Amino acid sequence: METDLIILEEYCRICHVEPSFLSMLEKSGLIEIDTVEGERCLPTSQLNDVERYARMYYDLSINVEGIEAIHHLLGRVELLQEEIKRLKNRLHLYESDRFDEMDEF
Amino acid sequence: MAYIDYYKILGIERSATQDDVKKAYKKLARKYHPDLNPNDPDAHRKFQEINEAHEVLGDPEKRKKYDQYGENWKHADEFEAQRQQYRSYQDGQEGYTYWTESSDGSGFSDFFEQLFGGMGGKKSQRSRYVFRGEDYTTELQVSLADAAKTHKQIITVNGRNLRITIPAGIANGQTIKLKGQGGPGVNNGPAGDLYITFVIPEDARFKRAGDDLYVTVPLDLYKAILGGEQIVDTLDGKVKLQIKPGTQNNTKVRLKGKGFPVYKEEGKFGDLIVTYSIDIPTNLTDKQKELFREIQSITQ
Repeated sequence: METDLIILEEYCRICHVEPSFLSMLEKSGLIEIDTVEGERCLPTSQLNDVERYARMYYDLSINVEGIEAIHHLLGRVELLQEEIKRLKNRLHLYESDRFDEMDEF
Repeated sequence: MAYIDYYKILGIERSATQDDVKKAYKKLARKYHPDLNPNDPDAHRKFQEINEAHEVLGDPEKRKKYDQYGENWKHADEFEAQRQQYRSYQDGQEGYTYWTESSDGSGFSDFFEQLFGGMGGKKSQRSRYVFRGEDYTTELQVSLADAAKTHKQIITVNGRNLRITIPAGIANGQTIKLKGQGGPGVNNGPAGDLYITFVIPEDARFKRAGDDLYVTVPLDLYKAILGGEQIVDTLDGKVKLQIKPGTQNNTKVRLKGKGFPVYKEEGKFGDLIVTYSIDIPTNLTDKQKELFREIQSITQ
């Protein structure tokens, strides 16, 4: 399967993110950086995650260890939210409610 | 439109230093930032308030104007009447505060827009780039009987109810994509997609393998030996089957087109494979035992 990649240096320059920050994220296992023909590249599938981690790091002054802990906790929150959604959806089988139409997929 | 007390929002005194403002903002932002509170509209709204308060109080120039005119912001309108971007406030919605929805939590209230001329606030250089919204994933449980027919079902995603049409023949573990139904994009980027994975629990009667269904039908010994008729359940009702005399245990019969509908191929169905499981009678009466012995002796 093909993966779209962005050259790390280019990304850092455009988005005003320090390469050392991405290296820290990589070391902590929060992101994966590929090396293609000697060039360090970031898969585009990780852009949303990188942007989120950058907001935590730069805007909220949370260090990488904190981001790592948050990542794990948010994973658990997501699972719990999924469980609630699943249970709510089962409840809908028995209840009627207002809804939006969504027929196409 | 109500006056907004930015000092109260940040929980600081009017005499707070710029450093106090920054500290208070960071502390509250860490609590309410949308990245740390996924799928929580209340936190999102709270963060917008905090962000706006910081935008004003964290900028000495804006803070000065806010302190000077904030409580009586309409006077600021007069002061700023010559501004090219001035727009008068005439909608008479006294008592309400409107917040502009923004995916990154940086929307600004009408109060802010009015006081500061719709500048929208200064954003950090780093966050000006457009990103596609988050993809959402969810699971939806559907019974085998429901999965066999095209039907509508309501799901709740991020507080929003969607009614989706599920085509007949959907498989356990199959994922479908609803384009643009995921999280909102950042800085007007496109919305993400919603992925729904279907979970079809095991059915008590039918086992499914692809588009074929399997059912085990208990058959009494006498019918298996002598033949007869047997009513068998299918997904769309009952059918009457002829049982041949001398039917063996585990005999399989294939009913063409009585299986599961083929996904998105209208009118096409798999087969239903019926397996006969012959019940050996227990707790026979003396009379029945005697008759069986008689059959045994004749057979030998």
